[in-house]
Amino acid sequence: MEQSLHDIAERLLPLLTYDPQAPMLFSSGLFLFLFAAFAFLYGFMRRTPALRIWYVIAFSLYFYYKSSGIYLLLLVGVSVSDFWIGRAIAHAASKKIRRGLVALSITADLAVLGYFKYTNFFIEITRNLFGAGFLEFQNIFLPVGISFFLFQSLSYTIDIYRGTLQPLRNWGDYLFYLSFFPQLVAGPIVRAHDFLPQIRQNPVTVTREMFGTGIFLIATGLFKKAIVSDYISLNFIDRIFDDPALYSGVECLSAIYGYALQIYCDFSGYSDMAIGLALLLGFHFPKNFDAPYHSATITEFWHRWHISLSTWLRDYLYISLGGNRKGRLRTYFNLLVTMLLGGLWHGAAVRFILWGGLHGVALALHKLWLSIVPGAKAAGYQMRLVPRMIGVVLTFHLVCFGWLLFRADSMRTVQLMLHQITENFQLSLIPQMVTGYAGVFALMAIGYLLHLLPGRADNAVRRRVVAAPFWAQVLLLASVAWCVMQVQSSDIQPFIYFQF
Amino acid sequence: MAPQDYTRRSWQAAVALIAVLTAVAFIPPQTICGVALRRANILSDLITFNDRQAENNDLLPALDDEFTSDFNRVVDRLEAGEALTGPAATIPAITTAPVAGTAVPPDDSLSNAPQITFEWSPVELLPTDAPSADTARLLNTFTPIENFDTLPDGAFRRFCRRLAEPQGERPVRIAVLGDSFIEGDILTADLREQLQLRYGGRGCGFAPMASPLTGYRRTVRTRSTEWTAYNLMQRRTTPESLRGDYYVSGWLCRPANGAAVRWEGSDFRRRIDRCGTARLLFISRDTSLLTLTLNDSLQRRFEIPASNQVRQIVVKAPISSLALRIDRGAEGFTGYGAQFEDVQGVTIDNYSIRSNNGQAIFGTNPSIDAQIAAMTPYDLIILQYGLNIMQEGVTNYSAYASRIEKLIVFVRECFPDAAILVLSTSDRSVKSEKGFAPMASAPAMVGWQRRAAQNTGAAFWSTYDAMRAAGGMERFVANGWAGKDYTHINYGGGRQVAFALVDAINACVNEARQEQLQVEQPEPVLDSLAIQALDRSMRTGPSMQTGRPLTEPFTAPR
Repeated sequence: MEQSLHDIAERLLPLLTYDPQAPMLFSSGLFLFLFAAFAFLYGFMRRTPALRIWYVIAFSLYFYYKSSGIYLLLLVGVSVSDFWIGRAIAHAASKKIRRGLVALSITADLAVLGYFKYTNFFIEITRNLFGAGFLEFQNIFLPVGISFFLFQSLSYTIDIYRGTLQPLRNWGDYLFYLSFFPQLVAGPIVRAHDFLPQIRQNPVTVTREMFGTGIFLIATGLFKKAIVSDYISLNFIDRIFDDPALYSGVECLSAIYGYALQIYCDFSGYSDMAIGLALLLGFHFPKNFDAPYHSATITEFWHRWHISLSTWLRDYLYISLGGNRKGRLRTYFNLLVTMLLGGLWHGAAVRFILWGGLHGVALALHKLWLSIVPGAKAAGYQMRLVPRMIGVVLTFHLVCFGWLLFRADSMRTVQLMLHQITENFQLSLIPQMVTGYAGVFALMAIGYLLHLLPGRADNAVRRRVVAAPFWAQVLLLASVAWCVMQVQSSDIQPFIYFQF
Repeated sequence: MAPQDYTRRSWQAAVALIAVLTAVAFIPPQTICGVALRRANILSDLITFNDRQAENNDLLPALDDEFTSDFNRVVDRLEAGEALTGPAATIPAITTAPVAGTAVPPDDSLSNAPQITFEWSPVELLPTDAPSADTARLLNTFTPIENFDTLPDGAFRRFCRRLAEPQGERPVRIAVLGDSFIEGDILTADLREQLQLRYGGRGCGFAPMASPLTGYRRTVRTRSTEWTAYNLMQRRTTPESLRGDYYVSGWLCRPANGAAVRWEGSDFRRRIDRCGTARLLFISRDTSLLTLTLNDSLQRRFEIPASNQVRQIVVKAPISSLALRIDRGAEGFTGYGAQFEDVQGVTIDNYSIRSNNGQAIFGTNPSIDAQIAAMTPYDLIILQYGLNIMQEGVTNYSAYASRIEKLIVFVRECFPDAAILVLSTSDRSVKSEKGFAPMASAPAMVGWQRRAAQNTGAAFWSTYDAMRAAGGMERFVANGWAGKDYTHINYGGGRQVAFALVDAINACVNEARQEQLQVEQPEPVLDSLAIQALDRSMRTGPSMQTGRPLTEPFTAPR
């Protein structure tokens, strides 16, 4: 140890202040310390809802400040605006006014989202159309989690407009809902009608089942996010997507399979941690991922992948467009538009729109298939084993093709990856590749194997963790954290050249 | 009875976890069953431990690879004072040969010497692009070239003077010998573009007939069919008959009859969409029949008589694309590639061999290197190596440095007209408990490489310093200029490094220009009027007010 107490104190302050390069992540050591401090007082506030609410708000806003600085005012601003619009909708005398108010809320929220997330994307489009001098790119900071909290806020005002939700009386409750730190940065998108009834629980209760499940989800989430996803992306997948022409087809294909696992582990791992943390604080979030690569059809995939987003899009976009009530063609069109916009929600780039478009077309075709082929099934559990297995393989590869579009930074990369896979596959390199990248392929095998286990196995392990003594639960977390630190400080896998 | 509440247990769990992890943080790194375990330091943001096990003078393990025997052979011959390239008779002089296809008169005294050069000039050349007079620096930071050749007429100064006054019947030729760091024309793409913009010239330089990397390289579009490419690093698996044919390009291409290759200019960088000269380099041990197609329109057939010498077909015309087909004689044909250049200006050939730490060059055939050098004499050879030999914790690279010295001597023997510029190893990051940190052994390697250049009187440029000045590898990765292995740069990163090198070369060229001016200017003569003017200025001291040195009018410009 080389530091004096003075050095440590000097390092502490910058660590606690806003740093855009170091957003607060659940997998960081800093979060563990802050959470420990937060949880200590939280435990004494079980029966004081008002105090508890403001205490959690303060911690959540600090959590947001650490990642986005002054933009926490945006979060507060949206909560003020939609809280009052929600109240006004509920009290409005005529349908016209209610419609105007909900349109105001939607416009305001989408304007904020559009400005921060899509301005430069649209400037890029105009520059492509009218030349580079037409508009200059703007230096716009993208506040963390903006897509998530704005969608949550929209669900609140739209539900009030639809009459399915009563407005809150207290602004603090609404700010609590929007800013609740477990889901603030990366979801899941918790609906107002699921979450609001839980805010004023008195007393807050965390059962043994909730606590054990929370520990289990945090441990599995950490494993997925900080071990599998981070390791395989840094040491294998990123480099291949950066320069596909340097690698053989078999490496490119492995990178696509790897990316399918990476994005699942990254996204669902973080969601698991969020759900687990919420459980430790006495809150239930709905399931966000349900073994998506078990899907035997693309429709089933969207019932299993990022469920909180797909149901949000279904309820507030697809249904608003008319859903399936306006004829078959209109249904297909609505699906396509919903998925195109869903693609755009993931990021401001053409590749996300293409990805959404691919899924929209696939969903529409599958709907058509269901309507014209007698006996066609919508989901795997309705099928026999062999058709189901074929369906799983086909769906997985369709989804992987989508991931290729999603991940590649340009159409040139897509083209190169496909070229290498079709023209320069080099199957004979597999043994060298698997041994050369042993760590990567071991983690990929473990990741897919765990994913392919039936839900029963998952539940059995979870019950074991719930039933385990306290020290065993702590040791489980400690060993996962230790593995995370080993992986994070492990040497970078050097480039390995297999082609010649 | 109400069920037990576990709300406070979260805090207990978090504290217990912190306690366990803090205790674990004090366990030093260890190796268990051959697996190296790092220190798992939960407090790494606040407290760091000095875990460096290696001492400062850790020695690089003995260098031993398949090129060691080549190295030893080279050393033995150098020490014995023998010429590496063998007897002079084996290096044929370039003949100004008659156009192929026309029969050589049987009574010609040269009839026994093989025809080396075959020319084809079907179209009038376009005038060469005028060099721009732009002397502005490309970057704010500056890393100078250190020239350890103290002779006033040393090779590097000669190279700079050639650039300062481009003239003559051939371009200024630069070859960059390196490893995967510059593979795919990375760095050289921008070095070439910038030097061609300033000093004239066109063309993408050397492009092999076939290699697995042609799809990656964006400065020339290559489409090859029916070629088998062999790489110097896999010399053992190269067919016996070809093993001795390796040139510093590192690639050999063996065609089947009917094999074809088509090269096309690219707009990826400026001045490489077309050029004025192409040289196809090959050995034809059997009589072969080749068809060349220029710009997808003009065609010409060449019958190449059998010979063991390296030959070239020189095409002089505005070239946008060039295709070669081997109609006959593929069995004895060894293809190297084509050099695309212009009549004047600058041309840069990228000769990168991945995983090469420099030693593979000893495995090339010095005679072939010299034969090609005689056809296309190089003015500067840049050596970019070191990345593949660096090891974390190792700082003593003396053995490697001595091999670099021998490499320089070897390259000088093969390319006698060329100056040598040693590029240091690049910056590279490694993982530490706090994220990424610069590899500590890199500065040591830079020092050893500098020493090797110094001992051999070569020029030296620190790629490492140039990259650190631009923010280092971490910044390169953050800017999308380098790969996630924190070792290899991409075209974006190559541009940054190339700009820094161009600035350094330009500074040397400017110096050469100034020296030239100084030679041309008559010595200032201090006549009585000048002395009076000087006295006056000293009394009134205007130059002192402006801070200019009094002797300025009479000193040579620098």
